[in-house]
Amino acid sequence: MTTGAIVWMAIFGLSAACFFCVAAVVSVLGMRDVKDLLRRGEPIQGNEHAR
Amino acid sequence: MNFTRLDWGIVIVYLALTVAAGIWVRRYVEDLGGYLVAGRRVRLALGVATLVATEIGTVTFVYLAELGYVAGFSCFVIGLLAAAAYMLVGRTGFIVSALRAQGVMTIPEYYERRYSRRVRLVGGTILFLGGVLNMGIFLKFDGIFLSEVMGFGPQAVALIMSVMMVVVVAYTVLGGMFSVVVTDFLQFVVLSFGMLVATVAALNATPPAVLAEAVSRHLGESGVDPLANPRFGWPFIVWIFVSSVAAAALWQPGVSKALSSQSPDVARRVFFYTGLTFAGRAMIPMLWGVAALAYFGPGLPTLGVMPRLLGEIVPSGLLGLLVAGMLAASMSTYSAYMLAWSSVFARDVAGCLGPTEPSEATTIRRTRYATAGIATFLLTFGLWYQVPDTAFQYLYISGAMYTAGALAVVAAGIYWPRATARGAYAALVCGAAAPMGFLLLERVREQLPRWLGFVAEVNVAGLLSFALAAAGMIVGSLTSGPVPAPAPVNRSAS
Repeated sequence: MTTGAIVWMAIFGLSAACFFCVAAVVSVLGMRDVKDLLRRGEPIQGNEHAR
Repeated sequence: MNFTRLDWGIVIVYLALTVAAGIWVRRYVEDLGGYLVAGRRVRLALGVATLVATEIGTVTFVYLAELGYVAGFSCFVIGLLAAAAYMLVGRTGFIVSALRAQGVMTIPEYYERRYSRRVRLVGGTILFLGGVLNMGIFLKFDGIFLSEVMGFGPQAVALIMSVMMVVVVAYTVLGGMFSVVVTDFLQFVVLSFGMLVATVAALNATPPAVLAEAVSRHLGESGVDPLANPRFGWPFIVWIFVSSVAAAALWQPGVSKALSSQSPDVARRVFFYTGLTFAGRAMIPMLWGVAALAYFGPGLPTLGVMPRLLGEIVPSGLLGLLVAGMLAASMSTYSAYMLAWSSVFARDVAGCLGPTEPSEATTIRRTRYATAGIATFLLTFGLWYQVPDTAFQYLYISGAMYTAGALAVVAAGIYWPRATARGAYAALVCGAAAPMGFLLLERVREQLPRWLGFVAEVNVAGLLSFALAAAGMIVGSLTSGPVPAPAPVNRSAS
């Protein structure tokens, strides 16, 4: 492997790890945010057929 | 045919769950704010999930993998530039915090507050046209991907894409941003898993040493050094960085997520944490493209080679999860983009033509009609348009039609008190001129006089659009004479 290829593979490894770590954390915490979003926004009565 | 019954079952269950969630959430829409910006109640983790899901579609995978296939590791620099741009916006709050603090729902709305209603109409029209043109090729790419991965012919794929489009339009029209945000979250989880499956399969089939050897053999130095690669070089790097900053701060589908957030500070942090994922967002599909180069060798159709690889190396069952992930990526992008562009049409184009502000009910109705109209356009435009150069460059140059002018107009509006409406018109028109020139003249490149040839060079045209827009704003504003003080802009959050 050339030095350039090693450097890019290392950068790729860090970037991919960062992506999947953020994805895992956001998947867990995002669930709480979705619940919060829907809890604070009360359903609008009759809105199922509105507009 | 690569797809088994198990794969079909996974895709159908996923589609059914998404539709059910998207339509169920519509009951939470109470007014225009609920419809367009989810009542501005989106918190950090959900904001990151929805923004990342918006910015990753199947089209993203296809065009980035195409770059990996033709340019090797050297294109990874694009991921670093995009991550740096988003983290810069997230760290400083550049533009997005001020826009969120202003409480606008679309960017052209800011044009009216800072400049005039006519600037809003002109800016809104350019934004709408540039945005819809930019989105025009998405469906074509999705079709290429599914056709290769699933092993079906183009007719079956067209049917699948049409069904997907109807599903997306249904929940976007009914539930607006509430549906978009909630389905984005589900889609983010599924697409992340799909990306993990594809990456593990690609590295299993072509380990790093094999990738490095293939890049070295087929591409040489231009495969690892972006400055030695004739596709890139310094003009490309500067253009992509500036363009990424502009897109991060001003691309309506992304910014609408910032405008939906709880506060200007949350908006800023959403961009910072999204920036952490952006190098991976680009490099992961690029690596799939490099893997395709190592697996098949050069010379195959560049857009279809990565999906063909995944169709061959991902086992049954996981292939269904992968396709569900790709459909998730596409659906989250379509829903966010269609809502963004249709809201711009309803509020900033149609809404500015009449003497008075239309009612909320009228705006929501127009947004829904525009969403359906955009979907119809997507189903027809993508079938006949041939993409010039690489898809990546088409997307960036068509996006520059709007972002170049918008960067000058909004940044000057917020940070330069001397900016005027004349400067704004000049910036919008000059910013759109170079990309329009490229899209029109690229096809007659050979007939152009030599002195005009630079317009048909995509990297030069892209960089030129930002320079011309900035020059237009400065010259236009300085030749306007004294101007009244602009409306105050809340910069405290930035």
